[in-house]
Amino acid sequence: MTDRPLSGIRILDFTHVWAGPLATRILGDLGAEVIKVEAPWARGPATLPSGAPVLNSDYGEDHWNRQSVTNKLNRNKLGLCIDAKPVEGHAVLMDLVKHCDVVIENFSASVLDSMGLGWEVLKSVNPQIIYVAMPGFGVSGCYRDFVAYGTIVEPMCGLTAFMGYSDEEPRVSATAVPDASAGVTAVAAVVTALQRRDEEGVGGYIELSLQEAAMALFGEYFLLEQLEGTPPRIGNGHADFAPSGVYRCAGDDEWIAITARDENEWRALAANAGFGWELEQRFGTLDARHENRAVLDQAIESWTCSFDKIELMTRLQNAGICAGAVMVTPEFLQDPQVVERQFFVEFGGEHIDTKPYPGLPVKINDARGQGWLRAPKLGEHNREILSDLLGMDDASIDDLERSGVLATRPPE
Amino acid sequence: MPLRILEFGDNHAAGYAGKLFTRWGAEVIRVDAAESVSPFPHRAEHVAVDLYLHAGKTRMAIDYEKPAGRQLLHRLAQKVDILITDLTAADLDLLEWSSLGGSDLKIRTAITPFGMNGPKRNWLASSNVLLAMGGLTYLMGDADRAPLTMPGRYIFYQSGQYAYAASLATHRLQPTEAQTIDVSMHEVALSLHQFTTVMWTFGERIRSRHGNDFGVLHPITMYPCKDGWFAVNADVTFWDVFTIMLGKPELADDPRFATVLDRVEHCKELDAIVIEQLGNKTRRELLDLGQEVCRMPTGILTTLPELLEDPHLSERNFWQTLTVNGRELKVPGSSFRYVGQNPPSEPSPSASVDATRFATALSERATRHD
Repeated sequence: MTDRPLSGIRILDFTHVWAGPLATRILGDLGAEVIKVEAPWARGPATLPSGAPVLNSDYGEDHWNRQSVTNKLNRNKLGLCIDAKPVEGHAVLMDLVKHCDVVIENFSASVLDSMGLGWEVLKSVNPQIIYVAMPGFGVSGCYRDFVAYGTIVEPMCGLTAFMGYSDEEPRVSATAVPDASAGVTAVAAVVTALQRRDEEGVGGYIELSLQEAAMALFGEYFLLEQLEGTPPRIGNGHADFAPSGVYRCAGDDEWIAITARDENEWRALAANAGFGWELEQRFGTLDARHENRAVLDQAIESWTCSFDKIELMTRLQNAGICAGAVMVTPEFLQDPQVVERQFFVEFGGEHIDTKPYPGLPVKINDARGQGWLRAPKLGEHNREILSDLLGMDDASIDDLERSGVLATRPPE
Repeated sequence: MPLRILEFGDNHAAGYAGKLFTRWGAEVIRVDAAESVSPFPHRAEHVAVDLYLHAGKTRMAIDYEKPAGRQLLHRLAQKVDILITDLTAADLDLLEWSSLGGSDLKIRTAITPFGMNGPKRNWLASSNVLLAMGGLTYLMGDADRAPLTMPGRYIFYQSGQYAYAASLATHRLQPTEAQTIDVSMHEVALSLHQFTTVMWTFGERIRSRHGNDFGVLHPITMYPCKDGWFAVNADVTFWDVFTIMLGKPELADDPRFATVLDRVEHCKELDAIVIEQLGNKTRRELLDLGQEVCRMPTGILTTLPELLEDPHLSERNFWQTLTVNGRELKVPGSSFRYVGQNPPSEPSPSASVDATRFATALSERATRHD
């Protein structure tokens, strides 16, 4: 059996920014053939103005093919760079839809409709097609036309209502949780729809909103609100466990997360620290530790702050205590667990240095990553896709290139 | 016949995967650990989690730390299509994980803290440990304070989603022998970064935390206002329109804010202007101004009661009803749905069943189907 269960599934990918490309990357990792459709200007202009934001990239020749995030999100995809506005470009895309199982996009609610690529149109040429739309607030409802990024959706998904240092100090995750939520949710949606198509023989139009995808991942808090009210923002404390927190370690801005999930772990932690905390009445029960949480956290931090975080993490885990160092990229890249499981995968090419990228957190039959491909250069597979899939001859493809419908370079 | 899933474990990841299977028509049998010691079984949050994850599943409790319990679990596993668990790798060794399941079994999915192999396979993990080791905690909170963990079960549920998708995708192939799926929750956390890793690998920059600021571009942040907080995403595309939202279009030509780097460098001056111009407005006014008037990515900090009554979510029929002891509770509906069809409804919570009798009945029923 394969570690690529979606082999044989072809996806036409109109997504951009993060949530959508994350979804299609996972689908590609699982074996789907993903055709990434990009407009010629999708990676910015060929000549960058002075001071333009080039996130972790460079200003050199072909800079658009070396963008860090583009390369991170688009492995295992074929690159088609096409202008969908001219009738010739639109016709190519409509032809491609006939050969695909799934179309996925994450524009605002009516963008693909306005391009003549909405569900009704695509269904008319391929009744089996599965169409997945991922707008910020969905395709219906009074916010459907809102301009949305994960960053502004996050405070509207519930998480920020109970996350922060205190009730006066709410904090966002700064990681755009709705994007990552919707990305993985879209994978679940596509697979669910494929299963239904297998059983019932029909495609379908699926929508998921960034807002609802994120709300679903914090769903119990809405029930809690109705049962007991909104929980207070308690920083790094935990509603159940005590102690539970993020504690300073030796060095500049070095920290460790520790949680005692039951009395055994608490006693092991106290014994390991060796200050007799377990004998103190104020820490004797879970309720007492909650009541004296600030004092307990202070005591723990006065102990942890002299330790190297990695050494302390290892020591505590070896003693059966749930602990983990707060890690930054160069640290987790070298984490022995990550290295042994080969989670990060390296890609490079003649145009880009070899770099490690996060892999798929799923192994199937102890395998993953076999035959994976680096991200395509802009329009790298234009000719291959049009020729192999649509049977177009060289002269027709040449015409599309000359007229600017196909491109391998952004406009100036 | 619908898929039959056997779900067990206690980390909520398998529970979330099982919830997705339940919602989309599978028969899910959830086995709780009879001897698991929960010091807070009656706390409202635990009730809420239980209702949220396990409504509609067939429930039973088995003490699989004991030989008889393990035997019973093995019996149950004989007649299912997919096994899904979030026990630790060490616990799965005790259960003889690789031999669990019968001839019908197609998929054996383990969601473990660190994966089924590697030097940390037996390490313990809570949500805050996974967030910390997965590089997310360092990004959250204020620069001059302890980094902030995220409340809830985000990594667990995301792991459940990965497990659901990988299990169902593999099941579609109708394998003739059981396939093993290994989901590492640690790796799930590592997979959910937008550009943290590439900032280092491409630029040798460690992404840091900046309170409510995104940190890389500005202003992508949350500001206080008259009745709470509002959020804006004024990246390169929306900077000019944001100056209009501020009522200060001249800022578009202000050299202090001319480029992205300038706006990051002068973020405090910019923040002061934003608060002066917009801080006296209500969230509703700001949402209207931002989204309706300026077409600018604007959001507001919405409370849980407000979300439960939110007109947009109501119009979309997002909330489903769960009836518990005669009381109707709103519960988030499916995070994806078919357009033009009713979203899948939330099943009612089910009472626990007697494990031994159920296993016998299941075997008899399966035999009849055979």
